[in-house]
Amino acid sequence: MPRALCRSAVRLAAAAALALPLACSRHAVRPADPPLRADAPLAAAQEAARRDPQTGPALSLPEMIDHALSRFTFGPRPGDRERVAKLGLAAFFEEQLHPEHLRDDAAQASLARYRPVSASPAEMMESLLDRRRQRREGMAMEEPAGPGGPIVGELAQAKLVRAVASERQLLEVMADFWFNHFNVYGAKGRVRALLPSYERDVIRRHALGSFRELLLGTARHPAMLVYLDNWRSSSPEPPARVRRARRRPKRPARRGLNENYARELLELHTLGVDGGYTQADVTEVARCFTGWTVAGIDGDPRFAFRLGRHDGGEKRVLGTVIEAGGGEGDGEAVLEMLMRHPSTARFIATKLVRRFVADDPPLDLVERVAGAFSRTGGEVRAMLRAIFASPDFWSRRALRAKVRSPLEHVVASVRALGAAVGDAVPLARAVARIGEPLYGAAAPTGYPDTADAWVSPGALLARIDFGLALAEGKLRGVSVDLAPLAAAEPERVLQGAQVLLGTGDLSPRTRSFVLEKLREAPAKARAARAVGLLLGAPEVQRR
Amino acid sequence: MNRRTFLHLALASFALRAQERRRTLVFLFLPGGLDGLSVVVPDDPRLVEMRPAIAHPAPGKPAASAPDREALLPLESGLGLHPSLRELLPLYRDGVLAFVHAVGQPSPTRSHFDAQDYLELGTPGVKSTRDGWLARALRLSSPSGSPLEAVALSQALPRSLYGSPRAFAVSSLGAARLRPLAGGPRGAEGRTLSREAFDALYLGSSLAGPAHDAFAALEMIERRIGEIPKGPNPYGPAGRALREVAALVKADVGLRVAFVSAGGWDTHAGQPGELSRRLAGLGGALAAFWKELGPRADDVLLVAATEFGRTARQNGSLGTDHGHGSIALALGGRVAGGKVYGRWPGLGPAELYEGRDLDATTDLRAFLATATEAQLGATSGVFPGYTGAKLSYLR
Repeated sequence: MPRALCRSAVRLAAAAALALPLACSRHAVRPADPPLRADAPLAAAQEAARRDPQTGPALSLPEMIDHALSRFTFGPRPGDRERVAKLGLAAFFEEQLHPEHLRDDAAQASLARYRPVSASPAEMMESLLDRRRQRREGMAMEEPAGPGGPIVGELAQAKLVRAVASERQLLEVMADFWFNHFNVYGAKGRVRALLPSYERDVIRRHALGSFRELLLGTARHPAMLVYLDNWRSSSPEPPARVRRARRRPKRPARRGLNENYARELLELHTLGVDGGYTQADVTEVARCFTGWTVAGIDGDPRFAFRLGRHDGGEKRVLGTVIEAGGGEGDGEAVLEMLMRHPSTARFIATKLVRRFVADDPPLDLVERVAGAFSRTGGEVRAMLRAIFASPDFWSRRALRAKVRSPLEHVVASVRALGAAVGDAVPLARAVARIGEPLYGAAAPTGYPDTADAWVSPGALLARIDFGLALAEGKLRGVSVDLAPLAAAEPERVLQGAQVLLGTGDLSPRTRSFVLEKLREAPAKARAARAVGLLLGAPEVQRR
Repeated sequence: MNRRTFLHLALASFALRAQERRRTLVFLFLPGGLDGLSVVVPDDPRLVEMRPAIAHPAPGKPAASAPDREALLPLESGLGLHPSLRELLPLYRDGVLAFVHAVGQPSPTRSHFDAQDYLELGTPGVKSTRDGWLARALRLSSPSGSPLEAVALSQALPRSLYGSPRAFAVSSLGAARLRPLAGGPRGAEGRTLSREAFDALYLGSSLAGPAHDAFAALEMIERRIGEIPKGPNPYGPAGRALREVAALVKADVGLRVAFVSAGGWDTHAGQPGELSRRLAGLGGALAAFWKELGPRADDVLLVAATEFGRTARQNGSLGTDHGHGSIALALGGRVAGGKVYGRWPGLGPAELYEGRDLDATTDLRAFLATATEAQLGATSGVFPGYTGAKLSYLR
């Protein structure tokens, strides 16, 4: 009897999942957010200079191109600046907003070697459990270093290959942003086997789509359900009717409410810590999500709703009553409520502006982006357009205002040199050494997005040393060709390196210091020395 | 005054202050859930009943049924020490090593992930804490002002040091280095030139603060520590890390807090062999650390703790599963050692935590707070909301 109940619950869940796209298309009837006008960036830059004259003249076009490429891509490769100049900033941005129209054959081809990129959760779980079994029986080699074992290792390499080589740069930037927003930790138990599907089927799929899809998708994905323990959360007591019918279970299931997901859903995914909810709301939300669990965890892991674990009583969330007997719909009602809540719009807007504009997000712009969220029901493209068309983004204050994260620094350096990546392992190691092991943020907050988190003394040394190693071609599997920089005069070597690395604006002091160091070096080592010094220079740690 | 002279003066003043022989607290984190019941073992027939295939026989009584399992070492009446911890026995007898048994966190979680967070943040049950307990202890103490005031020998800054902006995290002292500039001299000379070049490059920049700390730390390591032995340590990565901590202490660099982590305690399967190997490494590493410290031993207190213990019963794969109470140890010149502290909860069915694990009768925070007060003078505020009494394992 209870088993039959469970089965019908799974069927219900499957039906609900099928119905989802329909439910969403209802929301999508809003008029689409129009593409940016070609003159929008320039007009915004001029407006910024008018509003804030003491910061200096409006950004020049080359400055605007560098700024855009440093924020909405992982940094320019040789030739990118010229391409954007020809295309126009607004057209470039619209192109990046629609990656499905961008050919990306080279990057896609080099991803084929990473199995997690395409493997199903069932396949990943099988290989994880196989490896554990072998290890138990003493047959397997030690797992490679790093949290999460080989699956996470390969996923990290694939992420680096994409960030370096993909033409769909904004997609990669947003995939990184949303993964970090809805962070799950690769080394927590079985999560590592669920991670590839989580990233591919939820995060990447909707990275430029809508926040609603991201929220609904993460809420149901086994990776999130396991990471934040909701799959084990249940009403403390089975409902009376089920209890009477229950035969002796094989193993007494541990029962009880787990608030982990509910708390992070409110604090980190939607409203924000000051978004206006109480501990009572956390508990009530947790009750709504009881029964949202994972079926077939060690076989074919997938979302399931189990009525037998669900708390069927009435709940009260953020002042709204959710009537008894709503079943799986309780959780859906909560997600809808959170989607419509103004705190969610503001919280997501704040995080986006912090990522793309400044550590201290300008409040005007946050309001504009939050407005785009509310107007479009959380369309990511509309929010990004609001940023790209804003004077705050094109203000001179925003130029190089952000410290690059370790991932951004490593990838931008490799891209700037036009280096070919045959093996991404040394890059993954460098990113970890500089302080951001990929998929290795243990806390649900993900990695921080402000300068203070990234410039600790040890991390700074690792950054500088990485630049020296890269410039000298000492990273195995990453080939750097600096021959085009070779020149008789140190001034010309430096100038070439400055162009490559986008550091036309070095302070005179830095410039003369580097020149002095170049004169001390033998001619054939000057290119590598110039690049090594510049990659480690304070200006280059910023974007 | 040029930058070089400034650094030299700074070094000299650190040296002066170091003459005050400031104390150092070393936190040895044992993540993975160490089986305290295998480290210091009560002579209790119920334990052998619950662990027939993994328990070691009582001191002097080799079990006929398990010739591969050595007998426990005699510690005090009714207690035996794991045979692989042989090297700790002299320290225990000399009175510089103490255990605290049945210690744990007041949280029912059996998730490594949660329990490790709770331990490192120092706030069991609360994960939103922004800083770690070591960082708070450091903030509440008088700073040494040294760029090597807080050193974590780990790749990333551990959560226990979150919120400590100057904490220097590096996988090993040997990894804290800048390679020479291309085309310049190699070796130490090249590294020095490289460091000086970047030091000058960062002067006056917006990142000058952390850069200054980084280069000062690097210079201090190069000048004071000298050659850092490379290659594997006989006692594993923790042995290497502890040897480096000892080197920092002896070099008087103003080290107040050191963090070292040694994992591998999650013995769900094949526990006897696995645990013997790991404990032998740990015991050897601690004994070597003690020997290295020599005359500085009185200034140092090392405390070791794990996030939780393991089940009292063995499981189906010759291992144990995640449990609750475990053991902690303290090593130092001021430790009132040669003793096992704590209140023994017993192993009866009603005495086990939730009927399956060793209970935790001593709050881990009491153990750690005792250490932060003694070494750093940080009395309250290290463990927010905790007001329990300190323990008596220090002289």
